Amino acid sequence: MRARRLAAVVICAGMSLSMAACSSLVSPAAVGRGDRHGVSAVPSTNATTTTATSTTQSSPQAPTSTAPAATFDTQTLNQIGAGLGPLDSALSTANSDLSNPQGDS
Amino acid sequence: MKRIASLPALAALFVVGTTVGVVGLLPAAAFAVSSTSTSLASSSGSTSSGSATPGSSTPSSSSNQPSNPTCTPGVFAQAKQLVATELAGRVSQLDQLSTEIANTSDHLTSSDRQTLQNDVENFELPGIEALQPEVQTATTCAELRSDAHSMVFTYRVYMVMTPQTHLTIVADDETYIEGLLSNLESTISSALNDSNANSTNLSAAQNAFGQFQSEVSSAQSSIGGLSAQLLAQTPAEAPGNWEFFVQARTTLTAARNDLHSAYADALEIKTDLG
Repeated sequence: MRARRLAAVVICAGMSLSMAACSSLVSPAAVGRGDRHGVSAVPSTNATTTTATSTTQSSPQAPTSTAPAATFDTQTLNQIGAGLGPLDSALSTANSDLSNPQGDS
Repeated sequence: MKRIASLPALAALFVVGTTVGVVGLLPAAAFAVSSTSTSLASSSGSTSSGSATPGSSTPSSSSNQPSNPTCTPGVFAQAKQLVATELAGRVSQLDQLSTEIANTSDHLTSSDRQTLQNDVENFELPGIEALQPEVQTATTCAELRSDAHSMVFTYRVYMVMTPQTHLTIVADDETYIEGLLSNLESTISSALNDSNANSTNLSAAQNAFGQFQSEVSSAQSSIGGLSAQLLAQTPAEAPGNWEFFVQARTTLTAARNDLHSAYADALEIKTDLG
Protein backbone atom coordinates (compact mmCIF):
# COMPACT_ATOMS: atom_id res chain seq x y z
CA MET A 1 0.00 0.00 0.00
CA ARG A 2 2.74 2.38 1.01
CA ALA A 3 4.68 1.57 -2.05
CA ARG A 4 1.63 2.24 -4.19
CA ARG A 5 0.90 5.49 -2.46
CA LEU A 6 4.48 6.52 -2.78
CA ALA A 7 4.45 5.66 -6.42
CA ALA A 8 1.26 7.65 -6.92
CA VAL A 9 2.71 10.62 -5.10
CA VAL A 10 5.86 10.44 -7.15
CA ILE A 11 3.89 10.23 -10.33
CA CYS A 12 1.68 13.10 -9.31
CA ALA A 13 4.62 15.15 -8.24
CA GLY A 14 6.30 14.40 -11.49
CA MET A 15 3.26 15.37 -13.43
CA SER A 16 2.94 18.58 -11.45
CA LEU A 17 6.51 19.43 -12.09
CA SER A 18 6.21 18.70 -15.73
CA MET A 19 2.99 20.72 -15.98
CA ALA A 20 4.58 23.57 -14.13
CA ALA A 21 7.54 23.37 -16.40
CA CYS A 22 5.28 23.29 -19.40
CA SER A 23 3.28 26.26 -18.25
CA SER A 24 6.36 28.25 -17.51
CA LEU A 25 7.62 27.53 -20.96
CA VAL A 26 4.32 28.11 -22.72
CA SER A 27 3.16 31.26 -20.93
CA PRO A 28 6.11 33.39 -21.73
CA ALA A 29 5.81 32.33 -25.29
CA ALA A 30 2.15 33.26 -25.43
CA VAL A 31 2.75 36.57 -23.75
CA GLY A 32 5.64 37.03 -26.00
CA ARG A 33 3.47 36.60 -29.06
CA GLY A 34 0.94 38.95 -27.64
CA ASP A 35 3.60 41.42 -26.78
CA ARG A 36 5.08 41.16 -30.16
CA HIS A 37 1.83 42.07 -31.72
CA GLY A 38 1.33 44.78 -29.17
CA VAL A 39 4.82 45.99 -29.48
CA SER A 40 4.73 45.87 -33.17
CA ALA A 41 1.33 47.61 -33.20
CA VAL A 42 2.31 50.37 -30.90
CA PRO A 43 5.45 51.32 -32.64
CA SER A 44 3.77 51.05 -35.98
CA THR A 45 0.95 53.25 -34.71
CA ASN A 46 3.45 55.66 -33.39
CA ALA A 47 5.30 55.52 -36.58
CA THR A 48 2.14 56.12 -38.55
CA THR A 49 1.12 58.97 -36.35
CA THR A 50 4.53 60.42 -36.51
CA THR A 51 4.59 60.09 -40.22
CA ALA A 52 1.13 61.49 -40.62
CA THR A 53 1.90 64.35 -38.33
CA SER A 54 5.04 65.22 -40.07
CA THR A 55 3.27 64.96 -43.38
CA THR A 56 0.33 67.15 -42.44
CA GLN A 57 2.58 69.67 -40.87
CA SER A 58 4.95 69.82 -43.70
CA SER A 59 2.23 70.37 -46.31
CA PRO A 60 0.98 73.72 -45.12
CA GLN A 61 4.42 74.75 -44.05
CA ALA A 62 5.75 74.45 -47.51
CA PRO A 63 3.35 76.99 -48.98
CA THR A 64 3.70 79.13 -45.90
CA SER A 65 7.19 79.98 -46.81
CA THR A 66 6.21 80.98 -50.32
CA ALA A 67 2.48 81.67 -50.35
CA PRO A 68 1.77 84.69 -48.16
CA ALA A 69 2.57 87.15 -50.85
CA ALA A 70 0.58 85.20 -53.37
CA THR A 71 -2.35 84.80 -51.00
CA PHE A 72 -4.21 87.76 -52.33
CA ASP A 73 -3.39 87.54 -55.90
CA THR A 74 -3.70 91.06 -57.11
CA GLN A 75 -5.40 89.88 -60.23
CA THR A 76 -8.52 88.76 -58.39
CA LEU A 77 -8.69 91.93 -56.36
CA ASN A 78 -8.26 93.96 -59.52
CA GLN A 79 -11.04 92.01 -61.18
CA ILE A 80 -13.34 92.78 -58.30
CA GLY A 81 -12.37 96.43 -58.24
CA ALA A 82 -12.86 96.66 -61.98
CA GLY A 83 -16.28 95.08 -61.70
CA LEU A 84 -17.57 97.40 -59.01
CA GLY A 85 -17.42 100.50 -61.19
CA PRO A 86 -19.67 99.16 -63.96
CA LEU A 87 -21.95 97.70 -61.32
CA ASP A 88 -22.45 101.14 -59.80
CA SER A 89 -23.11 102.55 -63.23
CA ALA A 90 -25.67 99.86 -64.04
CA LEU A 91 -27.39 100.39 -60.72
CA SER A 92 -27.50 104.11 -61.32
CA THR A 93 -29.21 103.50 -64.66
CA ALA A 94 -31.75 101.21 -63.03
CA ASN A 95 -32.34 103.84 -60.36
CA SER A 96 -33.00 106.38 -63.05
CA ASP A 97 -35.57 104.08 -64.69
CA LEU A 98 -37.48 103.75 -61.48
CA SER A 99 -37.05 107.28 -60.24
CA ASN A 100 -37.92 108.92 -63.53
CA PRO A 101 -40.30 106.61 -65.33
CA GLN A 102 -40.64 107.70 -68.91
CA GLY A 103 -43.95 106.25 -69.91
CA ASP A 104 -46.24 103.34 -70.43
CA SER A 105 -48.44 104.70 -67.77
CA MET B 1 -38.22 112.99 -70.30
CA LYS B 2 -39.92 114.25 -73.37
CA ARG B 3 -41.96 111.08 -73.28
CA ILE B 4 -43.29 111.92 -69.88
CA ALA B 5 -44.71 115.08 -71.26
CA SER B 6 -46.60 113.26 -73.92
CA LEU B 7 -48.14 110.78 -71.57
CA PRO B 8 -50.72 113.08 -70.08
CA ALA B 9 -51.46 114.15 -73.58
CA LEU B 10 -52.00 110.53 -74.57
CA ALA B 11 -54.20 109.97 -71.58
CA ALA B 12 -56.11 113.06 -72.49
CA LEU B 13 -56.47 111.71 -75.98
CA PHE B 14 -58.19 108.67 -74.58
CA VAL B 15 -60.26 110.54 -72.05
CA VAL B 16 -61.44 113.39 -74.17
CA GLY B 17 -62.02 111.11 -77.08
CA THR B 18 -64.40 109.11 -75.02
CA THR B 19 -65.99 112.06 -73.39
CA VAL B 20 -66.71 113.66 -76.68
CA GLY B 21 -67.81 110.34 -78.02
CA VAL B 22 -65.76 110.66 -81.15
CA VAL B 23 -63.79 107.47 -80.89
CA GLY B 24 -66.27 105.28 -79.15
CA LEU B 25 -65.22 102.76 -76.54
CA LEU B 26 -62.70 103.97 -74.01
CA PRO B 27 -60.41 101.47 -72.28
CA ALA B 28 -61.16 101.88 -68.63
CA ALA B 29 -57.56 101.05 -67.92
CA ALA B 30 -56.49 104.27 -69.52
CA PHE B 31 -57.72 106.12 -66.48
CA ALA B 32 -56.00 103.71 -64.16
CA VAL B 33 -52.74 103.95 -66.02
CA SER B 34 -52.89 107.68 -66.00
CA SER B 35 -53.27 107.75 -62.25
CA THR B 36 -50.48 105.21 -61.87
CA SER B 37 -48.18 107.42 -63.82
CA THR B 38 -48.79 110.26 -61.49
CA SER B 39 -48.19 108.19 -58.40
CA LEU B 40 -45.00 106.66 -59.78
CA ALA B 41 -43.59 110.01 -60.68
CA SER B 42 -44.39 111.50 -57.32
CA SER B 43 -43.13 108.53 -55.32
CA SER B 44 -39.93 108.39 -57.31
CA GLY B 45 -39.11 111.94 -56.44
CA SER B 46 -38.07 110.94 -52.96
CA THR B 47 -35.67 108.29 -54.18
CA SER B 48 -34.25 110.19 -57.10
CA SER B 49 -30.48 110.08 -57.23
CA GLY B 50 -30.02 113.46 -58.71
CA SER B 51 -31.28 113.04 -62.22
CA ALA B 52 -33.60 115.57 -63.70
CA THR B 53 -36.88 115.27 -61.92
CA PRO B 54 -40.06 114.52 -63.80
CA GLY B 55 -41.62 117.59 -62.31
CA SER B 56 -39.08 119.90 -63.87
CA SER B 57 -39.07 118.25 -67.27
CA THR B 58 -42.74 117.77 -67.75
CA PRO B 59 -43.94 121.38 -67.94
CA SER B 60 -41.31 122.55 -70.40
CA SER B 61 -41.88 119.60 -72.69
CA SER B 62 -45.60 119.88 -72.33
CA SER B 63 -45.50 123.33 -73.70
CA ASN B 64 -44.54 121.85 -77.04
CA GLN B 65 -47.56 119.60 -77.11
CA PRO B 66 -51.22 120.34 -77.67
CA SER B 67 -52.50 121.26 -74.26
CA ASN B 68 -55.47 119.01 -74.44
CA PRO B 69 -55.46 116.91 -77.57
CA THR B 70 -58.68 115.36 -78.63
CA CYS B 71 -59.15 112.90 -81.38
CA THR B 72 -61.60 114.81 -83.42
CA PRO B 73 -61.33 115.33 -87.12
CA GLY B 74 -59.88 118.75 -86.42
CA VAL B 75 -56.89 117.46 -84.43
CA PHE B 76 -56.57 114.02 -85.92
CA ALA B 77 -53.27 114.85 -87.56
CA GLN B 78 -51.86 116.07 -84.25
CA ALA B 79 -53.07 112.99 -82.45
CA LYS B 80 -51.54 110.79 -85.09
CA GLN B 81 -48.24 112.64 -84.80
CA LEU B 82 -48.31 112.22 -81.06
CA VAL B 83 -48.73 108.46 -81.27
CA ALA B 84 -46.08 108.24 -84.01
CA THR B 85 -43.66 110.13 -81.79
CA GLU B 86 -44.38 107.83 -78.90
CA LEU B 87 -43.74 104.81 -81.08
CA ALA B 88 -40.46 106.23 -82.35
CA GLY B 89 -39.36 106.88 -78.79
CA ARG B 90 -40.05 103.29 -77.91
CA VAL B 91 -38.10 102.01 -80.90
CA SER B 92 -35.13 104.11 -79.80
CA GLN B 93 -35.45 102.82 -76.26
CA LEU B 94 -35.58 99.20 -77.42
CA ASP B 95 -32.58 99.74 -79.69
CA GLN B 96 -30.72 101.12 -76.71
CA LEU B 97 -31.72 98.16 -74.56
CA SER B 98 -30.69 95.77 -77.29
CA THR B 99 -27.26 97.36 -77.43
CA GLU B 100 -26.88 97.12 -73.68
CA ILE B 101 -27.95 93.49 -73.64
CA ALA B 102 -25.45 92.62 -76.36
CA ASN B 103 -22.64 94.40 -74.54
CA THR B 104 -20.42 91.60 -73.34
CA SER B 105 -18.48 93.84 -71.00
CA ASP B 106 -21.26 93.37 -68.50
CA HIS B 107 -21.70 90.04 -66.78
CA LEU B 108 -25.10 88.93 -67.92
CA THR B 109 -25.23 85.17 -67.91
CA SER B 110 -25.60 83.68 -71.35
CA SER B 111 -29.09 82.43 -70.60
CA ASP B 112 -30.25 85.76 -69.19
CA ARG B 113 -28.75 87.57 -72.16
CA GLN B 114 -30.55 85.20 -74.48
CA THR B 115 -33.86 85.70 -72.69
CA LEU B 116 -33.62 89.47 -72.80
CA GLN B 117 -32.48 89.50 -76.41
CA ASN B 118 -35.39 87.31 -77.33
CA ASP B 119 -37.87 89.57 -75.54
CA VAL B 120 -36.54 92.74 -77.13
CA GLU B 121 -35.72 91.56 -80.61
CA ASN B 122 -38.40 88.97 -81.20
CA PHE B 123 -41.35 90.46 -79.39
CA GLU B 124 -41.08 94.07 -78.31
CA LEU B 125 -39.28 95.64 -81.24
CA PRO B 126 -41.17 93.87 -84.03
CA GLY B 127 -44.42 94.60 -82.23
CA ILE B 128 -43.79 98.32 -81.83
CA GLU B 129 -42.40 98.62 -85.35
CA ALA B 130 -45.48 96.90 -86.73
CA LEU B 131 -47.63 99.59 -85.14
CA GLN B 132 -45.78 102.40 -86.89
CA PRO B 133 -47.22 101.82 -90.38
CA GLU B 134 -50.61 101.15 -88.87
CA VAL B 135 -50.58 104.55 -87.24
CA GLN B 136 -49.47 106.18 -90.45
CA THR B 137 -52.35 104.64 -92.33
CA ALA B 138 -54.93 105.17 -89.61
CA THR B 139 -57.87 107.22 -90.79
CA THR B 140 -60.08 107.19 -87.74
CA CYS B 141 -59.67 107.97 -84.10
CA ALA B 142 -60.76 104.44 -83.24
CA GLU B 143 -57.88 103.01 -85.23
CA LEU B 144 -55.46 105.46 -83.72
CA ARG B 145 -56.61 104.80 -80.20
CA SER B 146 -56.36 101.05 -80.72
CA ASP B 147 -52.75 101.39 -81.85
CA ALA B 148 -51.89 103.67 -78.96
CA HIS B 149 -53.49 101.29 -76.52
CA SER B 150 -51.49 98.36 -77.86
CA MET B 151 -48.29 100.39 -77.79
CA VAL B 152 -48.70 101.03 -74.09
CA PHE B 153 -50.46 98.00 -72.71
CA THR B 154 -49.06 95.18 -74.81
CA TYR B 155 -45.39 96.11 -74.70
CA ARG B 156 -44.75 98.24 -71.61
CA VAL B 157 -41.38 99.31 -72.96
CA TYR B 158 -40.70 101.78 -70.18
CA MET B 159 -42.60 100.23 -67.35
CA VAL B 160 -41.41 96.62 -67.64
CA MET B 161 -38.85 96.00 -70.36
CA THR B 162 -36.54 98.82 -69.33
CA PRO B 163 -36.28 98.20 -65.57
CA GLN B 164 -36.31 94.47 -66.19
CA THR B 165 -33.27 94.71 -68.45
CA HIS B 166 -31.29 97.11 -66.30
CA LEU B 167 -32.01 95.36 -63.03
CA THR B 168 -31.12 91.98 -64.49
CA ILE B 169 -27.80 93.38 -65.63
CA VAL B 170 -27.21 94.65 -62.11
CA ALA B 171 -28.18 91.31 -60.57
CA ASP B 172 -25.83 89.38 -62.83
CA ASP B 173 -23.01 91.86 -62.31
CA GLU B 174 -23.41 91.41 -58.59
CA THR B 175 -23.51 87.65 -58.91
CA TYR B 176 -20.23 87.76 -60.80
CA ILE B 177 -18.52 89.91 -58.18
CA GLU B 178 -19.96 87.88 -55.34
CA GLY B 179 -18.46 84.79 -56.97
CA LEU B 180 -15.02 86.36 -57.10
CA LEU B 181 -15.25 87.38 -53.46
CA SER B 182 -16.44 83.93 -52.42
CA ASN B 183 -13.46 82.39 -54.15
CA LEU B 184 -11.19 84.63 -52.13
CA GLU B 185 -12.62 83.36 -48.88
CA SER B 186 -10.60 80.16 -48.62
CA THR B 187 -7.49 81.95 -49.77
CA ILE B 188 -7.86 84.57 -47.09
CA SER B 189 -8.52 81.91 -44.48
CA SER B 190 -5.30 80.11 -45.38
CA ALA B 191 -3.40 83.35 -45.37
CA LEU B 192 -4.61 84.15 -41.88
CA ASN B 193 -3.57 80.72 -40.63
CA ASP B 194 -0.14 81.01 -42.15
CA SER B 195 0.45 84.62 -41.43
CA ASN B 196 3.57 85.86 -39.74
CA ALA B 197 2.00 89.24 -39.13
CA ASN B 198 2.22 90.75 -35.67
CA SER B 199 -0.66 90.15 -33.31
CA THR B 200 -2.19 93.58 -33.80
CA ASN B 201 -2.32 93.31 -37.54
CA LEU B 202 -3.40 89.71 -37.39
CA SER B 203 -6.25 90.58 -35.07
CA ALA B 204 -7.36 93.40 -37.34
CA ALA B 205 -7.20 91.09 -40.33
CA GLN B 206 -9.24 88.46 -38.53
CA ASN B 207 -11.90 91.00 -37.63
CA ALA B 208 -12.01 92.23 -41.20
CA PHE B 209 -12.32 88.66 -42.39
CA GLY B 210 -15.32 88.11 -40.14
CA GLN B 211 -16.98 91.15 -41.67
CA PHE B 212 -15.96 90.03 -45.12
CA GLN B 213 -17.63 86.65 -44.66
CA SER B 214 -20.79 88.22 -43.31
CA GLU B 215 -21.02 90.72 -46.16
CA VAL B 216 -20.40 88.16 -48.88
CA SER B 217 -22.97 85.87 -47.34
CA SER B 218 -25.49 88.69 -47.10
CA ALA B 219 -24.96 89.68 -50.72
CA GLN B 220 -25.27 86.09 -51.80
CA SER B 221 -28.54 85.75 -49.96
CA SER B 222 -29.91 88.97 -51.46
CA ILE B 223 -29.01 88.19 -55.05
CA GLY B 224 -29.94 84.53 -55.10
CA GLY B 225 -32.69 83.84 -57.63
CA LEU B 226 -33.41 87.50 -58.22
CA SER B 227 -32.54 87.61 -61.91
CA ALA B 228 -34.92 84.73 -62.58
CA GLN B 229 -37.68 86.60 -60.77
CA LEU B 230 -36.91 89.75 -62.72
CA LEU B 231 -37.05 87.91 -66.02
CA ALA B 232 -40.37 86.37 -65.09
CA GLN B 233 -42.08 89.78 -65.09
CA THR B 234 -44.32 90.42 -68.07
CA PRO B 235 -46.04 93.43 -69.62
CA ALA B 236 -49.39 91.85 -68.85
CA GLU B 237 -48.66 92.11 -65.13
CA ALA B 238 -48.03 95.84 -65.22
CA PRO B 239 -48.52 98.07 -63.40
CA GLY B 240 -48.77 95.50 -60.62
CA ASN B 241 -45.13 94.48 -60.97
CA TRP B 242 -43.79 97.99 -60.62
CA GLU B 243 -43.51 97.54 -56.89
CA PHE B 244 -41.52 94.36 -57.48
CA PHE B 245 -39.00 96.33 -59.55
CA VAL B 246 -38.73 98.97 -56.85
CA GLN B 247 -38.16 96.30 -54.22
CA ALA B 248 -35.59 94.57 -56.41
CA ARG B 249 -33.76 97.86 -56.76
CA THR B 250 -33.64 98.17 -52.97
CA THR B 251 -32.36 94.61 -52.60
CA LEU B 252 -29.71 95.08 -55.26
CA THR B 253 -28.59 98.33 -53.70
CA ALA B 254 -28.11 96.59 -50.36
CA ALA B 255 -26.16 93.81 -52.06
CA ARG B 256 -24.04 96.35 -53.87
CA ASN B 257 -23.16 97.96 -50.55
CA ASP B 258 -22.23 94.58 -49.10
CA LEU B 259 -19.98 93.82 -52.06
CA HIS B 260 -18.23 97.16 -51.79
CA SER B 261 -17.68 96.62 -48.07
CA ALA B 262 -16.38 93.10 -48.62
CA TYR B 263 -13.95 94.38 -51.21
CA ALA B 264 -12.73 97.05 -48.80
CA ASP B 265 -12.27 94.39 -46.12
CA ALA B 266 -10.27 92.22 -48.51
CA LEU B 267 -7.98 95.14 -49.23
CA GLU B 268 -7.57 95.78 -45.53
CA ILE B 269 -6.73 92.15 -44.84
CA LYS B 270 -4.15 92.20 -47.58
CA THR B 271 -2.59 95.29 -46.06
CA ASP B 272 -2.68 93.87 -42.52
CA LEU B 273 -1.03 90.64 -43.53
CA GLY B 274 1.58 92.43 -45.54
